[in-house]
Amino acid sequence: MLDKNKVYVSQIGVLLLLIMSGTKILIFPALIAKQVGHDSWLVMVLSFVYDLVCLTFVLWAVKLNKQNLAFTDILHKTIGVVGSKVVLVIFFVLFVSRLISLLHSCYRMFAVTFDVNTNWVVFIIPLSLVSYFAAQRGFNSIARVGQLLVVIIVFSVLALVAFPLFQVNFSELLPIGEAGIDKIMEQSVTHSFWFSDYIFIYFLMDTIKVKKKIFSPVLCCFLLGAAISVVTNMVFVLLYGSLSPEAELAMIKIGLFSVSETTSGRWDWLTLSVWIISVVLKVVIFFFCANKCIEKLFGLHLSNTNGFVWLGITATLIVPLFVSVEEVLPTFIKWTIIPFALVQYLLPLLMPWWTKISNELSLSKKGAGI
Amino acid sequence: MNTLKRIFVVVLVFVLAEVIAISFKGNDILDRSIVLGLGVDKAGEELLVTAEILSPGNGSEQVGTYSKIVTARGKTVAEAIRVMTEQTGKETSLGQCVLVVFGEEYFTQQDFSDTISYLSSSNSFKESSSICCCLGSAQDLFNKTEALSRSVSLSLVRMLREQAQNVAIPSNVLLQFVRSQRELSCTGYLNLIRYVSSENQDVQNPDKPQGFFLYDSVAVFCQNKFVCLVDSDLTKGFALIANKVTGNTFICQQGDEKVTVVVNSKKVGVSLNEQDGVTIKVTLTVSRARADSVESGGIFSSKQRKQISQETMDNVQKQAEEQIQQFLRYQQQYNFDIVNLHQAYRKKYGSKPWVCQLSTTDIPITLQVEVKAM
Repeated sequence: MLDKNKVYVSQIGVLLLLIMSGTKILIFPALIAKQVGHDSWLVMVLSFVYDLVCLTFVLWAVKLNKQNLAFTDILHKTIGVVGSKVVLVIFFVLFVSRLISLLHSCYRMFAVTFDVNTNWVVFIIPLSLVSYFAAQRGFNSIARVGQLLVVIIVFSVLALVAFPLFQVNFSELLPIGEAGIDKIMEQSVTHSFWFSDYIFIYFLMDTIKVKKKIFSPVLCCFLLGAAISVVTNMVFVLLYGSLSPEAELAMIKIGLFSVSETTSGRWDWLTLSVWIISVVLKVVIFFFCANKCIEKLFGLHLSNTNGFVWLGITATLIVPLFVSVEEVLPTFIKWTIIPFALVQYLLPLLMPWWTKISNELSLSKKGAGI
Repeated sequence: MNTLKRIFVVVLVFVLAEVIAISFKGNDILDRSIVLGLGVDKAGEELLVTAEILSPGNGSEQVGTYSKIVTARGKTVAEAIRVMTEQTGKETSLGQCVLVVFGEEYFTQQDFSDTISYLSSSNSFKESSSICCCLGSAQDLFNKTEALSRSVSLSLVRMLREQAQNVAIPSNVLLQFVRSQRELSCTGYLNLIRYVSSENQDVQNPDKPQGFFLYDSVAVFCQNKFVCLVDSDLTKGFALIANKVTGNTFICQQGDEKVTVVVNSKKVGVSLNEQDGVTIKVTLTVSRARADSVESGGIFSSKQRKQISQETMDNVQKQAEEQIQQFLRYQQQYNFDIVNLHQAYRKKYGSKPWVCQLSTTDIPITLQVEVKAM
């Protein structure tokens, strides 16, 4: 095991906090407002509750992983080779599809906010190269970048939201649950694709340095990230009301109200530029995880990140050249909801049990000298 | 790594860097005319769009003094903007536009949904821009640059954004107006601007026109169609029940003295009462009008010795109630709702069709005005 991939629990927490907002405060608010209007924040809260439960189970599994077994080793020992490959395929598709949606919203954001036009291929190449370089340095370097930038990134998000936060009237969220509890719950399930950011932890199970405290640092960061996302979503819906479904990029729209006097400049451009670093970090992490999936799927034992694998992943990202992401994504999510739910919501619940079994098996093999 | 490989990697990196650098096409600021304000007038079957623009790179231009007024015609605002691009030879950039003004003929005779939709759906156009209408044509209004010796757009925005709320005039931004035209009662308002000429007593420039903008009344719209004008007296009543708007003045007799009392801060609550009517509760914090700015802290001002008698406060309460009632009667007469009475029903019953269709005349209103001295 290479030391450069070792990460601390606190670093996992910081990364989770940074990547949680990502698409959730970019394109998700408009999507969900189309379905449930001003109750969209409730959908978000419910989804975060599911995530909180699953994350707790994943952390529990990490705690039980005394033998530092890799995620794929645990799967091999419990559901066999075929089962583990199926899980890895699902994860790979999930990471790639989320990468595409993330990059697509990022692409739109650049074009709209900074009036920078480019083609899709040239947009993804630099991000792919950054991801490749970061992964070459090891996951620890990604985590360190997160640690270094967490304060200014969180500050930039807060700076964007702070001013409009005092302009809106929160009583306009009444009546709570107007869209109907059934519909809100249904939407939280059907939009689960946008959640479960903690899934990257699976691919670090063997590299996490477990200290005494494992739950509190990660869960605190998760709750802070969830609070930022929910409040941002509330502010967006309160500001835009019936226009929310048409306001495609929430964070940009909120940014317009982040200064009281617009003739004195665009403060939002500065803060958005800083915040976008967290989106780049998310891209890097998802690239890293997709790469791990391929590596394990084909039984590769690479000391370093393989350029061809990376090129392959980058090649899958050219899908938006042939199909419209806005049109295809809803259908794609509809068809993949069950397999994705398996790895997003069922797998975490089983992980502590499977980790315990595989650790015992590993220990007994060691004891038997196998 | 052997030398050949190294050379290959260096060449590859260089080529990639070049390709990426060439492919990112930012729009040079020198190729743009930056629109500060946009005016829309009706010109027969077409629209006449007036823009106050800045063109970076044309000499040593400064905002205000050297902004230019450009006009273009088109069937829609979008077409006129395109024509403007042809005329100026530069891309017309609306990303920094802070003001939109509708001319009198346009806003009174035409449904301007198309224009509103074009502006609000453009990602680069700021929904936080101020929007208003004017007496006469918007083109004339924008051409008052000389009279003001500064940019019309920036002057108006400063007035509408900063001063209006301190001198008892509610003001709107594009987003609020767009929402008002499609939510609940579908009614909203725009500030009505008029230019008033003043006498030039400058002996060195006797021919130079002088004047100022007056914006003490509002125009009401329903689904982007003109409904009625609310004159300056009625607007004072509206200002009293508009949140965050202060500066209403009242003149009262206190003993032998005529006292001017000004509203420094206020709290407005609109809620449903037990009879399913609406209760508007207004708490005004007032002080004697003074030439200094001691009370500028609003609700955070330190407490001072009370200088207003109870009799004066009762008088202020009576005047405030009268002004508000007068405005509410007018609102019922023309069946519009710019106070958001419907919002109180929505908070309880949701956006049901009957809530949206509820006529303002059918809403029983209970008014409670409380006056406090600072």
